Amino acid sequence: MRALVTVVALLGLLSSAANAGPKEDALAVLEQWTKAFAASDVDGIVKLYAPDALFVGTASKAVVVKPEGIRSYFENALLNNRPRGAALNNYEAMVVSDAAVVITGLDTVTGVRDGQPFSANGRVTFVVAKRGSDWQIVHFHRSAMPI
Amino acid sequence: MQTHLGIASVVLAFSTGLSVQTATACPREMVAAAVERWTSVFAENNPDTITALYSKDAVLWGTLSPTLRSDPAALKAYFVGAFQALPKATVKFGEQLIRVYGDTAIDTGYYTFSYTKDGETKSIPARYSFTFVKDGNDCKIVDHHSSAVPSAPR
Repeated sequence: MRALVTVVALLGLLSSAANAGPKEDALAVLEQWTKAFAASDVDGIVKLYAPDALFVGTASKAVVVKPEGIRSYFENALLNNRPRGAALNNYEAMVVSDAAVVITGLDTVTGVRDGQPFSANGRVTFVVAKRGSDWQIVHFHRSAMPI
Repeated sequence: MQTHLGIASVVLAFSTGLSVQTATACPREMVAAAVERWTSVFAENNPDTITALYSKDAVLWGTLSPTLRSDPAALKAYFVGAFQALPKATVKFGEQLIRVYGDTAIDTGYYTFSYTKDGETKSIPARYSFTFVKDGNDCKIVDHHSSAVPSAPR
């Protein structure tokens, strides 16, 4: 009987492990990203990127390859036209391996420019990967809607 | 005891089932070769052959697309439209940045599309990201985000 209880407990553990899978871990990183964006928290958003992440921002003319570059991108993007917001409206989350998830979809960035609220839809792709024990953004590409 | 063994093997099968989706890595050389292949297939202007380079569950943000394409039929439909809009389309890659993160590989950078319309050659400079995973012996595209180079900083 005790053995059976152990097996049932083991099954319980397995099912909760299945609930907190790669997809949930990756989406948790995006939730932190959205919070940091809304709080104009540059440190908070930069630390979600892997040190070797490749970054293509909406206005990037060149691929950003260094954390300092990602930091200055967000200093420009987050410290102006506040309060800011970025909402991922609809997306596909694809588990490509047990250590990598691609999340891609449409988002809406909002802010206030010269006292006037504005919003802009964009196309956004995140690749979130498990590096050591942490899930980090290894790739980011956001682009304006084509005209 | 026999019943317990039975349950244990079910548990074992279940837990190994969880890790089945782990793919093998796509090394840099294979990524570079896959992009070279994408370049030559693109120049065929054939929606079927280009769509075949993407995995079945691939997603695509096409350069000209306001909507996300997330199944093979939608991907193909994008290329049907793109090859109609851009006659005799070709693509030339600039410097490629390739990074391999475990079993996922990323290739990002710039490329320029050229096409001929009304006897005139035109070009679209764009930024791209390809995400590759190993699918059998091939490196297949699971995500492709392509966007025109922004005209002015905002």
